Amino acid sequence: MQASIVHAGVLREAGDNAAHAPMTLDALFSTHAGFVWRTLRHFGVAPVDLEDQTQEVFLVAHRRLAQWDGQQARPWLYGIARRCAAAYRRRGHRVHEHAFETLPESAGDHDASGPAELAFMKRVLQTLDEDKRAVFLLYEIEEMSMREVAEVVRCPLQTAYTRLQAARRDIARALAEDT
Amino acid sequence: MSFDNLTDPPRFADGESEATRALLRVTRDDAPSALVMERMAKRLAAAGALSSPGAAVHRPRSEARVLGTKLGAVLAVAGSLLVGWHASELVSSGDGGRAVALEAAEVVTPATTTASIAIATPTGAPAALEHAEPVAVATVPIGDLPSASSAAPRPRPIRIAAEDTRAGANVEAPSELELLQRARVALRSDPRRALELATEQARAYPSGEFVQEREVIAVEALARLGRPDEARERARAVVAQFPRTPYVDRLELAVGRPL
Repeated sequence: MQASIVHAGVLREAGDNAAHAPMTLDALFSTHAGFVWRTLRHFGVAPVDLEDQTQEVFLVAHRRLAQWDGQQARPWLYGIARRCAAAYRRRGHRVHEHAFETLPESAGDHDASGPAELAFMKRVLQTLDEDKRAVFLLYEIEEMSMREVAEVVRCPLQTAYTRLQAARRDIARALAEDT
Repeated sequence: MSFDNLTDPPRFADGESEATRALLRVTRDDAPSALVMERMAKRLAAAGALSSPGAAVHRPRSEARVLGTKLGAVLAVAGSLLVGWHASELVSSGDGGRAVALEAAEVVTPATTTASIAIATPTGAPAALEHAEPVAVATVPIGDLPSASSAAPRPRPIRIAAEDTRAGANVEAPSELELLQRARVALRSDPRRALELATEQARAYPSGEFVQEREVIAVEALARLGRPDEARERARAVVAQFPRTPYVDRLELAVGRPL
């Protein structure tokens, strides 16, 4: 069984363009955990919480797997991640009232905020409004097609193009100012 | 103007400096480490979401090679574990020999960890327990358990000779994950048994890896047993000890109110 899971993951590695075979949650996790992780980070989940929130996204996906049409895994997971991140931000007061020493087990093993470049890029991206940032990240970082991006963010294709161009302009300006 | 026939524009990095390309590359490569992937996979498997902790074997992009090496041993262990668990489930589904292999072994934990936990230790044979008249199953408040974040090494079940096995033969006690998976299976039809298994796991692995998963099962079992106050109290304890727990929704669903 493991071999089939791995095979399914490889099929989908470059995106969702491969033939639509039913994906198990194992395959979704192995293929798209990184995508979910980055999406949550860009939606404001703190580095120390990324592991738990990524896990939550896949727990929700597991519960809703029967309702998923099996098409376009990343848009589906993106929607779940966005809702989980929103719920996470709403209950943030509870999460952050605890001292670091009381974090769940092995908290020290959590991925930290990453290298300085990652933190810098995050600051640059924060200068964009959320709509433009989402389009930029999905196209430039996740390397989705523009049609897929438009579907994920639920806007007309033309609007997605406009947002991408605006985001690129703003990013280029921010990078030029910094250097 | 129609955009329907437009091809995707060149990627931003294509026309930018090496520094910009590097920044985008770093952002693109941001992903959970092999260790985190392995841990998430194990926890998702423990929660019943993944069929195997080895699901993390495939990683996108360049990390696949590194993780593949690191997870080789994990896969081997997970495979044998799942085969063993499946076999035990087959055994326990029969009439005569219920869970013979796994529950024949007595789990022994260090006195320092068990002394503070008041648990009704099963005294009869497991098969007898399952057919006995319903009794109140003792539960262990999560607050009474050693913190899972403790730096102390996780106690391992001690392998001892079972009385009903051949002389000199050792029987491996059920692993934490095995107990958890059996509790999860039991929860579907026998919440009392699920609670017993959760209690057994708490006793055998007080600082185990799957404390949250165990507590979720215990809360759900208590709720199904018509013990809402205990379920609520235990659920609150989970959230208090693990404020970042990904199981809040499931706990709230079980107790029927926000936590």
